[in-house]
Amino acid sequence: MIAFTLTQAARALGVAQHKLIHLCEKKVVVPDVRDARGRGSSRKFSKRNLFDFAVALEMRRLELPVSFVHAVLRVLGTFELEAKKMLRGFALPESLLAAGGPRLALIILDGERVYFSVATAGHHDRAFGGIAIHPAARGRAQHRSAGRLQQAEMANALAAARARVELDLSRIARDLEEQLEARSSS
Amino acid sequence: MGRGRAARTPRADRSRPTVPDAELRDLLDHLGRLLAKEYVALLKKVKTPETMDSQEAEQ
Repeated sequence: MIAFTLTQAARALGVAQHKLIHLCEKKVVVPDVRDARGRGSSRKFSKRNLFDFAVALEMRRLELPVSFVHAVLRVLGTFELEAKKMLRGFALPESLLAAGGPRLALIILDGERVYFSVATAGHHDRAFGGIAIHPAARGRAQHRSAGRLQQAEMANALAAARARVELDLSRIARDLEEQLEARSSS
Repeated sequence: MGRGRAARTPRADRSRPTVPDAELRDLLDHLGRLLAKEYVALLKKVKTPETMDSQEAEQ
């Protein structure tokens, strides 16, 4: 496993180190290789950690709450574990880069409900989720379901939403790959 | 009165947990599993060299 120091990770992602430290201290990203243990120790990150950072940074740039970042990274963690069981060698972020492969996107409607979509060329997007991350804060009884939505259900949800945020997770994976390649060749 | 971000953040926001509760974790994990099933099925259809290799390895 390739290990990145905090300095290398910050350079690869084009951000200040303190932003990555903040995400580690909030336990949004837990270093795969080595966590900090007191003064003088240093964290070391895997490429998978860098992908989590890239997603988290993009979400934070849009001022989405840390709780949403936690939730999204939890889905991606389970997604990777389950996909590995079905397809040996599956790994994030690499498996999001397959030529002609599905595009994975995160959609947040009205700053409340989280959806994911999987899309391939020539087919309708398949949408999943609709989970409200903070139901209690809004006086709701539950988080809603997390199943697959019919095409019309997602269309209705999109039509009813006042605000829509969409992150192309496949694109984030590709950009990270290109940044790492550019750094290794320079 | 304190200064900085915490002082400016509404009380309701500060009281929100940042880590998912048990009910939410179950839903998020369920969502991750559904996504994986769908994504892998579509990835296998694409039959890129990498997925072909993996499928052959599984066989």
